[in-house]
Amino acid sequence: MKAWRARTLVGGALAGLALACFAIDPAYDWKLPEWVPRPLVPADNPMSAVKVELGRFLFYDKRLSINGSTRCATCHSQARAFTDGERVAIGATREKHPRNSMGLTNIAYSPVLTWANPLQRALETQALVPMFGEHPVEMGLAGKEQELTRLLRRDRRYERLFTTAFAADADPYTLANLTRALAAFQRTLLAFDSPYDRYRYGGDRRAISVSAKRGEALFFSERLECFHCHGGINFTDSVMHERLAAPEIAFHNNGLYNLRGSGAYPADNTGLIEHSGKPADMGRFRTPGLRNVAVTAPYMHDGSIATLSEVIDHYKAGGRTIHGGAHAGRGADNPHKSGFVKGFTLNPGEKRDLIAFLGSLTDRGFLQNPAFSDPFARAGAAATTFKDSHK
Amino acid sequence: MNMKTVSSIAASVIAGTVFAQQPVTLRFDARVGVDAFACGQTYTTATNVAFEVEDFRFYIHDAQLLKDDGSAAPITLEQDGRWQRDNAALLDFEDKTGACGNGTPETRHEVRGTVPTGEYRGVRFTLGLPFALNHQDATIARAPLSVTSLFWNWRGGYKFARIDLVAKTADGRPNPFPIHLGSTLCAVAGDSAKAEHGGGAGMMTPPAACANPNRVTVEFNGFNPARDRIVADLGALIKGTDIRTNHGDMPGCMSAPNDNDCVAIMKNFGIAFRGVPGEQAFFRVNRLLLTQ
Repeated sequence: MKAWRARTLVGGALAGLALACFAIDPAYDWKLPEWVPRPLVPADNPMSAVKVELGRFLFYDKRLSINGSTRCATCHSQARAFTDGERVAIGATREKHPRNSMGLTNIAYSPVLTWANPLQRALETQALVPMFGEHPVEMGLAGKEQELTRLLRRDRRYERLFTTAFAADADPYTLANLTRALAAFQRTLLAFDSPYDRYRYGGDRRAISVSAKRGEALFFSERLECFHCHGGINFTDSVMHERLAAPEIAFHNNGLYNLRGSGAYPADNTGLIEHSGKPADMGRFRTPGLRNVAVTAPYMHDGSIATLSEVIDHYKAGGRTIHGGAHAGRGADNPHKSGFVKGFTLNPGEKRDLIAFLGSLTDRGFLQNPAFSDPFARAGAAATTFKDSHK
Repeated sequence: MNMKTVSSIAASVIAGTVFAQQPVTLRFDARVGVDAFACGQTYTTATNVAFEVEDFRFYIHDAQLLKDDGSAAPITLEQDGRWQRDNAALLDFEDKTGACGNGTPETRHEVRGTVPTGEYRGVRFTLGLPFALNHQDATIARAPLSVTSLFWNWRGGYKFARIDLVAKTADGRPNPFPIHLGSTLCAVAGDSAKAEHGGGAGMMTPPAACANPNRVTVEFNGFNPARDRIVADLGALIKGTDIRTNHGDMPGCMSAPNDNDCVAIMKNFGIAFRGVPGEQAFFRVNRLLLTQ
């Protein structure tokens, strides 16, 4: 409790900029296994069951898009660990996003969000990008804030949920509360019950196959070097939780492109350089976590690799070579490439073992957990479209 | 309310017994060359390219009136809860008609406030939002910083100016050409030291600085606020830019350092861009128009 208070004070000091610090929420039971550190939440958005319920409805509500076609879950589908199976995301107006939809498994632990934007630090503010962004259009709500507020006020379920979740607010139907609820729901998307977890932390020596155990040894070997970036509880080097003194944030160039031998990436997907302006940040993207990776194909920031087998081929070669066309170039020679993407030898049997290990990171219960599923399906309340509800 | 507003109000309260305040209104006029701006109108560029306008809004801040001796008096903005907050004001020339369907019916063509009583002959203001307002949490911001069409969250701030054009190409197909001015290359403190293995940066910290603030301070002498208008000229802004095609991957000019379509536009805003110095042409003063 003391730690919470102290951190709240720090948050208060920053309140001039209206942003809060992250801290442990001592009152909330995450129902995590003993070995798992608790996530941190913004001091001004503590968790609550009703807020999570509200966020779940909002996450699955098509009325939160310009034409009633799209909801958060359109690109973040539970069965695919909250990805969409598409090469790149497609918005409400069918416009293609330059990047692949990221999974939301254990997103509560991510100190930085999206593929390569160091400014996206909190789910609360990140939600504004898909809602109101216009290049590309995702949900297409720019300029529709009044219609949005009206929708929340007029819907009986939202009336109950907003007034309960934000009982202290004179006017609970705000954009801030909407994004707080969305964030709270997303922070409950926790997966720590894969076969690998049961083997590694649960003491069940038979939870994974012998092949997967060999794959584990390869994954953590100096020969393959996978673990340098894909380490820690979520197999990524961008992580924050209660046992870290400070969040870790990292972006890497993995040799996917090398246009004209210049080190360049395709112009619509240049990575961290878009925000830093530093030439060395060309092609640097956030390391995605690997939990549930077997169900989140296709891979890479632009969805340009279809299967895990081909991902391994890419790292085995130390980068991808593209022979013709506008993207031609030898990625392995990209001057900005991470030193750990150096290529390695791997025989077919070892590759099968590595894939078996990656498969052991799939938490089947997470993919089917009713608490994460579409609440409208259960409630039988087919939402009308955004337009209809405001005529 | 930020510190600046508090101190300027405090200053005027303290000074109140000595220096009375007088109301001041800065009138703005949106034009395309000599033509008045209106949604739904088709205009042509100097090179005869037809275009329509879908949006025309921008923020200004730190407005001041200037005396003959060169001294400046800050305009204390009316805190109206709609168009003005702290030392920033929104100007909104679109009225949701015609092609401006994503806008608002309400328009705003002026900035209102008070200055110490005196004789003023010049005006100075900065296009854009001040740093502290630009990087606040947009989800809880108050009007006029709550306008989602001006959110620019992926850059961690707001669009300072949003002027969206649609050009008509030779084959009749429309070419959307949005002009979004805002700060770019904003970094969170500590991030610059980030090594291959990552670094410990602040958690929910807003950016500490932007390499390209993209703010420009505009000043006009011989300006009489009671009579003159400040013209925002879209025609002057796009002079030298071919709006029929996009010379890069992003549509229009959205302030990115690698956006080829920004070279002439940034120059006309008065902002140095890729080594080309700014030469402010977007704003001018119209001294011929009498106030109604």
